[in-house]
Amino acid sequence: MTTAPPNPPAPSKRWTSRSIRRSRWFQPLFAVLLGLVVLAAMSLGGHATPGVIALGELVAFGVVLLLGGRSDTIRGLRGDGRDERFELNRLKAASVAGRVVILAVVIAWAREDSPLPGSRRHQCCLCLVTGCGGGSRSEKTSTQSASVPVTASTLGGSPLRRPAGSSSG
Amino acid sequence: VQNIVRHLRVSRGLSQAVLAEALSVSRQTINSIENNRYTPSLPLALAMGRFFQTSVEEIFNDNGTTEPSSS
Repeated sequence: MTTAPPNPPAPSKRWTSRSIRRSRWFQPLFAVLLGLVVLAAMSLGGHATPGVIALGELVAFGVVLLLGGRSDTIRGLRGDGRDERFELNRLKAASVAGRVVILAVVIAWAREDSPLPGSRRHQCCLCLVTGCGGGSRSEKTSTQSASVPVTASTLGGSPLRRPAGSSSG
Repeated sequence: VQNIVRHLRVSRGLSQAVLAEALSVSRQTINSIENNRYTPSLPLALAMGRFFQTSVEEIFNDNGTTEPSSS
C-alpha cells in the first residue's frame, strides 16, 4: 500500500537575515546609513564638506538601486533579483575584495615605520606573496581534482548504495 | 559544456525573459547559459529538463570530456 507523500511544509513567513538582505529596501537604506556614518566620521575629523558629498553620492546610489528595478543588474545588486549566477559573481567579488583589503593592510603595515625588526618585514612580504597566490593555487587544485573522474570503480568497484533487497555478495 | 537551450527555447517560440521567469532566474543568466559563458547548477539544469520535458543529457553535452575512465 502506497501512501501519499506528506505535504511540504509551508514556507516560513518569518523575517530571516537572508530575506531582509534580499528585500528591495535593504541595499538603498544601507547605502544611506553608510553615508550617514561617513558623514559623522568625517565631521568628527573636521571634514564635514567631503562628508556631505559622500552622503550625497551614497544617497544617489541608493536612489538608483531603489528606482532602477527594470534592470537585471540593478535587481541583482539590490538583492531581490539575485539568482545563482549572481550569487557566484558575488562570491567571486567578495573574494577579490577581501584579497585587496588584505593586500592593502599588509602593504600599509610593511611601509609603516613600525618598530618591527627586518625579519618581520620579510615574513610580511611572504604573507603577501602567499596571500596573493593562495586563490590561484586552490583553484588549480580544485580543477585538478575535478578532472579526475570519480567512478564506481575508483571507489572500490562497488556502488555507494545498493538497492534495497539486493545481497551484498 | 555545450548546450541546446537556445534551440529548445526558439523552437517553442519563447523569449529569454519568459524562460527566465519560468525558471526563476534572470534573463542575463539564460543569455549566459545559451552563449556557454555560464554552466548552470544541477538544480537549474534539472529544472530546465523538466521545463523542456527532456533529459539533462540531451540539453547539455560535455563532448565526452568528463567521461569516466576505465582505469
